[in-house]
Amino acid sequence: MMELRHNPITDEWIIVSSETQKRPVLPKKEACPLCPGILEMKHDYDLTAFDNRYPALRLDPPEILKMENQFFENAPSYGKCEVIMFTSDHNSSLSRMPIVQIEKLIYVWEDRTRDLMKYEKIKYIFPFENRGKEVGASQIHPHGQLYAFPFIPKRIQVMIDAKEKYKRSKNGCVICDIVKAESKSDDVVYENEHFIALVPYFARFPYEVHVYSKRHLSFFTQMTSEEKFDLAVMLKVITSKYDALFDQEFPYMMEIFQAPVNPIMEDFHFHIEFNPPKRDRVNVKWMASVETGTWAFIDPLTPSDAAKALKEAPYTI
Amino acid sequence: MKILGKSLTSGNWKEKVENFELNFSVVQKDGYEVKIEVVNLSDSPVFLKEIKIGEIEPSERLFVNNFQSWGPCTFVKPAKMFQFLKAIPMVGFGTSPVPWEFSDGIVSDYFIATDKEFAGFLSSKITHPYFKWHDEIVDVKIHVGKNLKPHEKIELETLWINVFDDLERTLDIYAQKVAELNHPKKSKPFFGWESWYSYYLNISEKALLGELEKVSNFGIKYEVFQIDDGYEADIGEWLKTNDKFPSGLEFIAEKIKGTGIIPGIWTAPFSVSESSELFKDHKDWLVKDDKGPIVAYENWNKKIYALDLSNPKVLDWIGGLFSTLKGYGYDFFKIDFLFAGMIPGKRYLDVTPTEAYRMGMERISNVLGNSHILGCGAPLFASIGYVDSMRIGADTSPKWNGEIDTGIAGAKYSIRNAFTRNFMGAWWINDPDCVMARSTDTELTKNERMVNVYVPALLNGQFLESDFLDKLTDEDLHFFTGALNFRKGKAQVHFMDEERYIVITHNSMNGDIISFVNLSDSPWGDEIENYRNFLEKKDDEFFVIYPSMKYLKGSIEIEPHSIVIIMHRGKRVLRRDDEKEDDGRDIHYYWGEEYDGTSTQSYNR
Repeated sequence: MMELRHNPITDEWIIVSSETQKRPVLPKKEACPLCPGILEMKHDYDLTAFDNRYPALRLDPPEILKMENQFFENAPSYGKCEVIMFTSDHNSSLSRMPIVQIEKLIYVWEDRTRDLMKYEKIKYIFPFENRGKEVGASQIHPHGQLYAFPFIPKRIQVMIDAKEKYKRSKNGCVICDIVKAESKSDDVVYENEHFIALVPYFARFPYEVHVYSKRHLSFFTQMTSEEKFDLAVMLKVITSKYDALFDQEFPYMMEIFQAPVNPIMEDFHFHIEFNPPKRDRVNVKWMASVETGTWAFIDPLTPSDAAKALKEAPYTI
Repeated sequence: MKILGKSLTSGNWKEKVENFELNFSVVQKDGYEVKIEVVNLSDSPVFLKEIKIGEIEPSERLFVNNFQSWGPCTFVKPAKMFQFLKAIPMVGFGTSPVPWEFSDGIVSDYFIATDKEFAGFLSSKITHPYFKWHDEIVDVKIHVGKNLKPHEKIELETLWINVFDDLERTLDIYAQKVAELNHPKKSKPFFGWESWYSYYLNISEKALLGELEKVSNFGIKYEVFQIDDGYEADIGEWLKTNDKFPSGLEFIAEKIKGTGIIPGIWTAPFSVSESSELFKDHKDWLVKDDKGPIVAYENWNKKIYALDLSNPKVLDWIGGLFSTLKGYGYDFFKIDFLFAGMIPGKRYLDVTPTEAYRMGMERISNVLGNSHILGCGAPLFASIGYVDSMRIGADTSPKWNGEIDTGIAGAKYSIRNAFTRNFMGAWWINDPDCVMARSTDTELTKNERMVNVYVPALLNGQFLESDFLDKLTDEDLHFFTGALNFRKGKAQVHFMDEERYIVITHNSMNGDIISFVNLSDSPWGDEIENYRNFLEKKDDEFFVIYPSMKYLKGSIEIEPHSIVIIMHRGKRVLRRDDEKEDDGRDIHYYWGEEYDGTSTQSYNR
């Protein structure tokens, strides 16, 4: 079963995909399917982007069944699910990679964005990384994914609505104004010429970090060479600080928010969110009933305390 | 240059010198190549100690080189250096295989450069070639050191001479010529840990295994774990451990191998101490003169003698030693104090000291096969083709020691040789000696530590760390692991003067880098624009200072004893290859220009 189903109660689209439950058969049980020459890549590589073997969305989705007088709305699972390999080095991570490798990854994200925005039915392109078993990563080999949606996902729509509301009342870009307001704040974890990383005043997760571009831009494709380099530095610093914080490979969800496409929404401000599930070295901050049911988050750690800890954490550059 | 008084021109001619005839054949080839043969004209054997073949007019400053790993390679004012060396009581075989030459001059082994002329021998397979400055002239000489049979003819080493305006480029051309003639081994640099600069002789089995546990659980992928001096019963008794290693060498090798790391071991295979059983049992195996065995050098508060490597029994003993160690599981061999094998003296066979040395090296190389051999304290040219890597400077130290440049331990001159001998990377993997990341148990400042740790990475030589791992602070660790991502590049070194160097590193794991290294005691102000011709042009070019990651705007200030590392960045163009899987899925391969065809290795913790 593979189709999109509309929830009229919340007005959001759900992706039904039983395919994603499948797992590939490996030549050896302990082999990594993402290492060169094992399963997914037939030969050595530097970085790759490839179609997920068991996608939730595809450019040639199966036809959907429409019943006569059907109450619910459904739609084909159009879109694309890609796996992005950050490096062929199995034991690496954003925190360990050379800056150059992360810089190349940003060029790959840019290229994937440019490619996928050509499909008119694609409305939102979302690169992300799940790191650690706590957030469901089944492989430790450093990789991320990318979903190209045929609709604007609910939380993105919330961001768009909030941005519009802010624009109407303040006549500006909400993220541009946050960057200005927080530039001297103690909540800034790291800053370079083109990006700023901070624990937001309104953090939902303990040790949540947001990375904002200082210039108002919406896509990787709009970044200068310097901005891409500075973003690479930023990703390495933040993930390195995470690892140093509890001296462990710190799990996180890294979500990259570009503007919607087709049509392009240029006043959407590019940003990245790191949402780590851990509240301390051992314990996980679960998405429990309140968070899942109401979308109201309870942050067990004062954001300024998290910012202080992260700011003081050493890092490798 | 003049050959025995004659100006250098192409052609063939002969000169008679005492009982010998010298046959010269000069060909103009990127400069001049001079092939030389010597013939014993007499009807009886004649001992040929050394022979002068030409003269070079010196300049006020000379670029000189010592024959072995630890010796300086640098610019000197020869008159000043001569006065300095005169104050030293005795020049030993560790300093020169021709120490008597220092009584009235100074020696540069293998090659020399004036301010306009470069002269360098292309090998040291049979003899030891050198240049001797004295009385405002430089003699071009070759030490033979053996009896020539009646009418015997031997081919001496070939000399290459060139007029230059770019010394660094000339050294690179020279390195290629030497490589073509000497067939170097093809190897890769290793990242590892070794015991010397933390434990020195106090290493024990317990301490070593403790460090091994830390290395294997450290989160950084060490490739080699090497035990250095301190395990052996005596110098010359390598398979018998002392009381600090009760379980023996095979046990240690197995423990290291069990972690997936290559076991490495240090020996000084051509050396025999006066207290060893080998010395007591086999004085006949030692290099001698008319009075008996010759003291090659003194160390460990003992007299050290040299094995006669022309003796088949000695070679069998050496072969057995390394065969046993390899059988134990060791696969990385640091062989030290090798100069002992090349001291002048009487041997079992009537061969030159150089020939004898190479017989010993050949035996080790043959026995060890594909195992990695790191030469140290070694006659440089005579070792080409036998070693995978080579120490190219003095021992480093947790002290800067910037006063005396004679090969004694110190961070400054150890790293200086890494610059001046960088061109030798065409013959082996250069080993600039260990890095020490620690901020405790050291007299090095933060700036000096950065020179010690980051230069070996930027030059992409051997990268062996020697710290007590549990004493490293978090800051030390991040400082250290940051350096690892500057490896794997191709480095060119430019000499500003004898204490200031610019390193251009292409395609390191962190991309293209330009580094300014100031070993002097004075600050150095400079600008990137002055070195534009060293750099590749990049679209959207910009420069970022490491580790602050701030953009370079304006001039660069390099403090004394420090390095400024600048990342040279610009717009990237990734190559993209599209493929289709059998099931119709797309796969896009992206390649950066620095990708070398092997899996990218990350080292950061």
